[in-house]
Amino acid sequence: MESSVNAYALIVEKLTQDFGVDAEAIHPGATLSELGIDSLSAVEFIFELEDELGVELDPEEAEFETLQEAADLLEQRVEEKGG
Amino acid sequence: MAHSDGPRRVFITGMGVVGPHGLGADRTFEAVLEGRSAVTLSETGSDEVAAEVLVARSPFEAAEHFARSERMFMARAAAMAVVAAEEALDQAGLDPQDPEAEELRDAGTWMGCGLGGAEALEDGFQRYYQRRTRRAPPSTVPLIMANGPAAHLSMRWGLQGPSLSYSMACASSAASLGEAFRALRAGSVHRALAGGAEAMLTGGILAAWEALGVVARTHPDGPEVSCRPFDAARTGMVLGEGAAVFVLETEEAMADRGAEPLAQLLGYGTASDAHGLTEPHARGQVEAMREALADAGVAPDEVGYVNAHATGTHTGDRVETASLRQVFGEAVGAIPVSATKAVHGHLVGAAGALELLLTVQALRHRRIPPTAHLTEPDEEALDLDLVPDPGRDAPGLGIALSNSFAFGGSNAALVVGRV
Repeated sequence: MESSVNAYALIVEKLTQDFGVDAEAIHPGATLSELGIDSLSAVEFIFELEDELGVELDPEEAEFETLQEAADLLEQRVEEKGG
Repeated sequence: MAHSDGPRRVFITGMGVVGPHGLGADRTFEAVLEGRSAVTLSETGSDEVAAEVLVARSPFEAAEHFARSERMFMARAAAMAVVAAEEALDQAGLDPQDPEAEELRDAGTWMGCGLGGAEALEDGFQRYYQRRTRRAPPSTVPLIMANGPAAHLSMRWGLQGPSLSYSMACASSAASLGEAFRALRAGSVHRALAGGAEAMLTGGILAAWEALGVVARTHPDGPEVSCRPFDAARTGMVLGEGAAVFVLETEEAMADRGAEPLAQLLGYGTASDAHGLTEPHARGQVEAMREALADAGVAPDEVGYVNAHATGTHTGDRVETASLRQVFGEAVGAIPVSATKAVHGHLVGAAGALELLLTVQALRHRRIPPTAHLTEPDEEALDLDLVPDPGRDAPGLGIALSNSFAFGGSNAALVVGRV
């Protein structure tokens, strides 16, 4: 699916710039906990991504394991919103 | 660790401050000695509700000390507390860069804080009431909570003893230090980080303080001389912000690692006015001071300096004057009393800790800081020695008292001695 946003790039940027994650540790299959993001930081991370993309993930649907899955979910919401 | 029976002696081995005069206990004491005021007239609020308010703002920038990932969950007050604690640990000979120092494993954390993360509280209100959204950052609650400063100190250095927070407005950190002192003396803990932090100079909160009618008006000679405790021309208090943190140790804990004391904590007293929310009453203040002196085993005439609570309000300074007269009797005029809030403002939850730090500095340097801007003393305080500018040398100074009296009627007094 072609999206108007590149959510994965945004995720990488946020992890490295705001959450202090080493860029070399990041890959599409990585999970937040593997990258040292605790549960509180994880919810803040999602909140900030939602804010920047102008979408909201329904908590019941917002289940993802990997960064790629999170990116896909976010892009799907942006598409649905007409972004 | 070998301990004698009975109460332990408790010493201060390190102290640090982030406040209106910047970072550092020495720099802060130097500024206070010089009567250099940190009070400014500051623009606050948004375009619609802009106002100029007298404040003693700290130049502290959290971004210079912490990455965004750390600041995300660290309110300004907590960030100030961590930096103040770094200085205190360093001075105590404990490595602030070591997150797993064995000496701190069983240590406790006692911190005072009146409000917590004021900026997150105000941001939350703005989102909800102004932007009309129920979406709040998940960091909001951990930022607002008043035990944030204590939690951050405990987490950062792995202190697994008690982590306790005291919220009694202006007496919060005098109480946190006093309660830590009691725990160490009783032997339940041997080492502690204790102090206070406060950062609430946000537009909405300043407006609320102004509504109480206790904030000073700008003096004709300039904003910097507007906070005038004990002066006949005083018009009120000036809010400040900052954190001051101490390393406290029992004599045995100190000896175990060969540390040197800066001063000895000798006594603590606390009592309530049981009178009014914002109107002080001498009975609670007198009881707190007498209890602290009795606790220290010190007679009133042995006290060589009093750092008064003295915020610069008309009523507050008069009631404290009356309290001092009751505690020290006819000898009250022989004891130097100064009000350093004239230059650093009122740090509320950090006030008692900052003022104890200045009191310890006075003992160490044998020099009493002045009551700055005092030109014409209040007619009811004429019998007090209010130490006008530029302060004075006190070569024989051995024991000092620091007062903290709060809204809500909570009072705390600390007695500290030279080593």
